[in-house]
Amino acid sequence: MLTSLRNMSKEKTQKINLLADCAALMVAALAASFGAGHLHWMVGPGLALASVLLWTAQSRILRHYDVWNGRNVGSDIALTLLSLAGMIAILALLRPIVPRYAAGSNLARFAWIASPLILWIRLTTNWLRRRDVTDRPVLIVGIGPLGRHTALEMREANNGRRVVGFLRFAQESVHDRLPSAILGDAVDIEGMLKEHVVDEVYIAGQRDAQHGEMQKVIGVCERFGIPFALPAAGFRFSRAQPQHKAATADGYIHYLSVRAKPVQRALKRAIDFGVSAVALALLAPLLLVVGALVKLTSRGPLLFRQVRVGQHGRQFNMLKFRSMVVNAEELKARLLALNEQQGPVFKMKSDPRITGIGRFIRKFSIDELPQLLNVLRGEMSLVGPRPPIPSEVAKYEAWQRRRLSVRPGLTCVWQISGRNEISFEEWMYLDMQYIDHWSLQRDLELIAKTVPVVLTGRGAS
Amino acid sequence: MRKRTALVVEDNPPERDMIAGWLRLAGFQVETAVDYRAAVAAITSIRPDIICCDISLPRESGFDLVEHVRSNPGTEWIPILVMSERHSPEDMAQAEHVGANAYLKKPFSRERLEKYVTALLDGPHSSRPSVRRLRRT
Repeated sequence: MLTSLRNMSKEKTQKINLLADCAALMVAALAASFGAGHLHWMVGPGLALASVLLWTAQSRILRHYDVWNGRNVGSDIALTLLSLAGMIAILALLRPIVPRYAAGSNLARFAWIASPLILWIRLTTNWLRRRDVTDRPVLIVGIGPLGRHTALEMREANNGRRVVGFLRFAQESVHDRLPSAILGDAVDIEGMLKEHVVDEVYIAGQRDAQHGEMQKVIGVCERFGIPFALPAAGFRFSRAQPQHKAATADGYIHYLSVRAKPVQRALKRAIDFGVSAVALALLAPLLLVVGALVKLTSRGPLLFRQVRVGQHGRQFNMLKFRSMVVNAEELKARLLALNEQQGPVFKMKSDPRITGIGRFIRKFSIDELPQLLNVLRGEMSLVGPRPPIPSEVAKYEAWQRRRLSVRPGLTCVWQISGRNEISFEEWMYLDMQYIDHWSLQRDLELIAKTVPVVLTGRGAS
Repeated sequence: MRKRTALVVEDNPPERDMIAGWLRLAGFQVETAVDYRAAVAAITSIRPDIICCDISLPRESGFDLVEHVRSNPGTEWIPILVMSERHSPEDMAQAEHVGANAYLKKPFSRERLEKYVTALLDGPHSSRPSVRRLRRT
């Protein structure tokens, strides 16, 4: 079910999908047999094993997990239902062979638990996959035949990549019928990446003729932490094929400025999704009470929506419970002289704009809880650098842009350090450290450390 | 009206027969060739109106054939449709560099073949988006 990750190979996606469904079948089989005391102890595990084997065999035969071949949600669900019905029918037929270990009621219970579970997994998978691949804006550098064919192939592949526009190498002349606009010259890459949201840069150049410009584009992409792709070959082939096609499936070699860890990243997104959904459900009573208090104790809206900058410069509305008076942003201009934080961020210890309830919810970070919705939507993650506001980003130096190369998060290294007084540069270094040495384990550690900090109200504000 | 002639250069017999059959149904007089040499001979003798050419041929490649046709004053005007199972943008750009007019990814349908061939022959300025009208650079 972890297809959210864009750079994960098809093979891995298929394996993880299959594993998730098998896990669901095992859970269903064991749950169906649990508590039915009169059954042989082998019934649960036996059913689990039989269903997993059958499901795996069926999925191979029906090519169930080859979802990338343009199958839509409807036919995927139909195929899932067919597989479920087939599996249950075969299990029912097998029953007379092992009468001692199989009970009819047990199989019926299994069917009732497994079917909705598997369907739910498939629907969620489809939804996540569609959401996460719907829009991947890419920039193509090079307006020659290679750049044009790259754009046309991308459009045909319909895998969510959308060409924002082209940049032109110095010697290239304008060709008619480019599928997108020419935004500027290759040497302007830095300005372009600041101005446009770009998830990947395709450098469609010739290594000999455009070496210098290509090197410059690569340098800027690395500094900004933007993934980029280089033509896989640079030569003409009439017969030879790469031995490992998956790495260059679209004719390009893809590079990231961080270590790929595709499975870990997919798990991160799955955890974000699962944890935020469960947390929102569990915290609903608290959120309702706090919401009511915020609304009733001072004039103004319940939620404070602030435009923040997300991954690769995407802007989104970050949600908070309102903890300040309504005209806080106007007052900020007057208070700017009293700023206690270096650099482009404004922070003050006893900010006069905060309301009574605001002081309380800020102390225990309750005001940040609505951001679980941002996490659920995929704009944020549980762990990641805090999303900056656009005016901060405008003041960033080039290397600081790399902070935007990952999904922003609710908590990060700095939030649990408990120190408000570090310099802006130190803060940036902490975030870079997090990005460059990221691992899922580190994320889980940070979550574990955040909980006590929040509960005791020691968090950096 | 004179029947137009198409030359199909393809080394794989079933594919060659299928493509030739489709073109005949589309009203073409079809000649076939299995490799570069046979193709060059056919081009000199029959002067086809269009060449549909595979890239992986047993000896010289389809690219070599395109280059030959383009460098020869008597044949350089003939529209060439390259057909290949190679799908990367680089392959298409290479085909364009040597002078192919269009690139058809295998496997393709009869409709797609007809569409491409028609566009190359009848629509010199065809701008239908699905048709890659390539130019010599």
